[in-house]
Amino acid sequence: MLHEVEVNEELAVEDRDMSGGPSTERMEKLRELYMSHSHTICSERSLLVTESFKSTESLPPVMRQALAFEKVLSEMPIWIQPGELIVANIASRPRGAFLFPEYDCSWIEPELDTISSRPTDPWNIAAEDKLAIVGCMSYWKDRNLKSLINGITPEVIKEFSMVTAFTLVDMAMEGGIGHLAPNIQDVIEIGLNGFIERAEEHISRLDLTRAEDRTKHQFLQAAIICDKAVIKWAGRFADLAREQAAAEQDPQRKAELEKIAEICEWVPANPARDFRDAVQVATMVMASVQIETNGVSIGTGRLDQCLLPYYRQDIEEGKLTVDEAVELMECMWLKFSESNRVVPEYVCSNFSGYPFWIQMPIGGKTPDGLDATNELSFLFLEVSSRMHVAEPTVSARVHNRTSEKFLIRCGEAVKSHGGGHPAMFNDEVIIPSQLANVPNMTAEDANDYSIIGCSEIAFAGRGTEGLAYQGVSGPRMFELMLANTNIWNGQPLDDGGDMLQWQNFDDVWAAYKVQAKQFARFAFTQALPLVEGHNTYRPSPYISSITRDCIGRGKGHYEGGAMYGNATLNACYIGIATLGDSMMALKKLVFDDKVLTISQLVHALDTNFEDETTAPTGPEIQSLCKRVPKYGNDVPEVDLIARECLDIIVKELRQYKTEFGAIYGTTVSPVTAHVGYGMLCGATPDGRKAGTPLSDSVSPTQGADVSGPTASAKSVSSLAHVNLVQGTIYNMKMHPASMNTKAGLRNWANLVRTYFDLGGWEMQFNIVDAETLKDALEHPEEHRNLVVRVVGYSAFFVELDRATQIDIIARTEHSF
Amino acid sequence: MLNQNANRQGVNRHTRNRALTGRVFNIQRYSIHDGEGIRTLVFLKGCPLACLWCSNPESQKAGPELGFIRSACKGDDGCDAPCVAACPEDAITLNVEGIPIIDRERCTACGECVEPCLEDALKIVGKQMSVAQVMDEVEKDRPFYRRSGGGMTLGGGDPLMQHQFSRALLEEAQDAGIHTALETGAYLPWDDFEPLLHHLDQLYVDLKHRDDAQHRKLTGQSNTLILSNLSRLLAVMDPKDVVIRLPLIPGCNDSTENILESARFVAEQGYKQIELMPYHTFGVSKYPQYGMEYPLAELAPQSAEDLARLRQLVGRFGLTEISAQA
Repeated sequence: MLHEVEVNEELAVEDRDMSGGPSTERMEKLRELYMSHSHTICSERSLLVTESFKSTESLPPVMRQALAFEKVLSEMPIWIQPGELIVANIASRPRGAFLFPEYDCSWIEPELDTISSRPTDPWNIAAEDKLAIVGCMSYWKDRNLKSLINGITPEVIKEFSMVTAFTLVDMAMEGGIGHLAPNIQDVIEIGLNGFIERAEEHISRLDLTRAEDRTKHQFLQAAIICDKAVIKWAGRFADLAREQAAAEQDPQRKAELEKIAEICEWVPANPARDFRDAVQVATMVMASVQIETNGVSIGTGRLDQCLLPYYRQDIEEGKLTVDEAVELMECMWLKFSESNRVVPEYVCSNFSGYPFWIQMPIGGKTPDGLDATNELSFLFLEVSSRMHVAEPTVSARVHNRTSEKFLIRCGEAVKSHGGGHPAMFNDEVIIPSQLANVPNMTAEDANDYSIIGCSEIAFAGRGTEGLAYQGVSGPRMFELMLANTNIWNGQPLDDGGDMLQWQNFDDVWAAYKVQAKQFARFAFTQALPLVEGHNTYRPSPYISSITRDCIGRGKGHYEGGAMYGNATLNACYIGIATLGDSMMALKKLVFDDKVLTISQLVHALDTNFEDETTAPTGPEIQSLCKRVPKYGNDVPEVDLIARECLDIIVKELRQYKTEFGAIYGTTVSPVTAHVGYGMLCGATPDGRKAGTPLSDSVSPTQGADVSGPTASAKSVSSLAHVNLVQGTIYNMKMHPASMNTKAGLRNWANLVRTYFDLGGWEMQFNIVDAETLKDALEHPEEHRNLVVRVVGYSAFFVELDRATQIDIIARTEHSF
Repeated sequence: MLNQNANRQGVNRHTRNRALTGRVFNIQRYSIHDGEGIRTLVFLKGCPLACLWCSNPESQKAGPELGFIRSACKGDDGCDAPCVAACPEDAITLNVEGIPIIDRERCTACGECVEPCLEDALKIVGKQMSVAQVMDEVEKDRPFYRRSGGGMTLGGGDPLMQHQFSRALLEEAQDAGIHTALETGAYLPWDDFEPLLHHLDQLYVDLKHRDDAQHRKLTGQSNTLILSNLSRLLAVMDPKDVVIRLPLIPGCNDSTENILESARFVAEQGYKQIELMPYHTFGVSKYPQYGMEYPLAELAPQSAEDLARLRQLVGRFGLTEISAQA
């Protein structure tokens, strides 16, 4: 027996068991408790923020934001659950969420009555909370951000964006911009007091006779208010812990509570002293950032890097065991997973499964280009596997020096998790893409990138991807091209837009380019008021205060304060495979084989392939369309067409820059938006019927990749990922049997490595079989634990809406 | 001068090889149970044996065949049976539900009926391809072979049925630096078989039954030629590159006696690696697609305990059991 114990203690971190659920009984109970709570809307913040804004009407916006933040942190309910070691909360109860009426209140009152019974992502709400929230709404009617942005949006954009159903941007107004990784590292190292001192020092050097300095003064004062508010908030947890300790009978728990109190009195105000302090700081920074603006896609940054010195120091000094470290990390994990956001119903149809996109990158390169993978990278993999909750999502950065051991370990985690964790990211493409596209990027910072959202890149505490969700529907653009419609005015385009005049496929490309030019300009024009509105009316002084170098520059995060604004705007191109396959079908059927005239094809599309009176009939034309070679089968002709389609729009978008020099980046990672956008798009020449889902991110059209995973991976890698700045998502479904043996895992690892050799950005795997998923449709209650990754985020399968569930099942299952 | 001649010979052989054609019924990329790493498995049509449990019934005949996928066919439901009209041999008639019945005697597998079917319910298996065409497909996954140590595997059917074509494929792959493997029942005169072995990095040989009478009953052929080939193989191949596979068919060849005898024989010849292949029924649903009937009654696959017991038996002879699919 003794011998066995010794062996266990000597077990290397990378060989520890990852299975078996939470590592301790405490964590088992806490996870159970977490799962037992339902998603609930809490009203307190709505009242507090409304009261604050009513009393600050005469102040500048940045100050109003700071004072509202301070009020919320001082008065919101806080709690410590039995057994918790790490504390912080973003709402009044576990798994609850506040509303943010100052951003978009238009949907709140109309939807509150049905929100607990809606089919997708329902939220419980108590009658008294409902009443309290509704009571605040009249104040926000004309003062919420959406109305304010509407006021500065040109009419031409408003008129055509819905008519053309080509981009939808409302989601960018439902909360803060988010899409960043906060500066956890500096808060751990210097504490919020360090930031306050810096801000005070800068204030002392301002010349308040100058307008510019007076603006800086407002920002710096607001920053100090926010940082102090967070320190005070931590103090409230210390007080609560002491209170609970006094009443606690169990001596062990009493000691734990006293420890919590002692820690919260010290951090995040002061520099962390040890690993546990650092973990508490990371948890509080992530939670407080949420309380400020509720932005989506806020990642943790590289915690396996910034916690490492504290971990090693404590292990060396014998203050901490690996098991204790894992338990603390698990506590933090559950805290992260509590973050959420309430969104209106139409958003759920595009993004279902309560997604919040909390990414945690592990592994990758150090700033000087060596392998950064360490003990904590392995332990975070373990914690993710053990906790098995939808978020956060672990993403593994892979480069040429990544060890086989780490990659195989990722494969084991992918298989045991089943839901796609970790997603695999390619340093060798992402780093060059940042160096080539982000102004003033240094090699060290490029190597130190973080992953946020689905596939996007941020530099923790140094810059942001910024305003992300602006979907651009490629297939919808294709439809308008066939209809020769100018998106700006609905009129015909005169430059070669008339399809009846097209002599060959080059003429089609020419028309596509004209459309792309118009679309890019339209999308950029549409995005500017969003950025301007956020900057002007809802600045975020807290997140700015801890972002390098906002204090030094005296400016907010989104107005040039951050070191890198690598893509303050980001357009997400949707349906690339649908578009590429459609262009290919047009080329082959109309111009190469000449089996159809373009009018015949367009008539079949207009009638949804259902007109039986034509020759060939609609169904026959659909069959012809379906037989044209499809992207995803390693057929260079169609793959290169898809590449060209994407490259043209990317180059058009990239020409635009904001006045702060931020570029207009592009991503292809629509989460589940390809379902929603598909509903708005008519039949397409790839044989797709009207209203059905578009293809998902850069993945081949669902079920079209019939030549196996290597063929699929080669097709996808033929897109120019490196030009995309914010990346792509490639979903592959894997049968568990293919990863059962060591050889199977090696082949999986080599599949990933080869996709990366070929220039891919990201790859993720669903290890599930279609039968399980079908059964989950019928018996959701039996599959509550089934986590499925749907393009860049992970969700409980049974919580997805029906259309998305069916779409997942329809994806080709690569079984062997 | 001598060098030039040698070069010219090489070029000639290469040109000759690439022009050779053979019948291929599938090329499956990312095959991971048929040799080292990530492989492309080239399935060649035709087999000298007719094993009762065959899981690729469409592979047995040498020529092309028409397959019909019942579940894809709409029948009377919105289809006016263009397949019937398209058939130049009048080999297709409809049953009462409008489902085509194919007269296999008349059908020449010309494929005229395939295109008109909007549901893709009909297909021709067994395409005539040149070595050059096959190699173009095999080349496509080269980046994956490079990372994984994989390559091309010939399977079937039995690649030895088209041994000249197989030899040309192996030679071309080897010349191109692609790792090669072969899966076979070794039923071919040694003089024709032997030249292939020089172009192989890995070889998998099935031994269906040790007893000749039983072998005839189960496969339609004697095992004499197979055993004789097995006794000579190691003169050319290194034992580490050869795996002898025993397909385990419940009640047919999985008796303790046969496994013991087979393993003894294998070990005596100097082989080191053996693979026990548990029974599966994945192929059963393919039989009706080709107008065939699955000859075996419903058999239950071996239990985990049975397999463990059989593995133990094999272990007695110092053989390493390779379980690629475990």
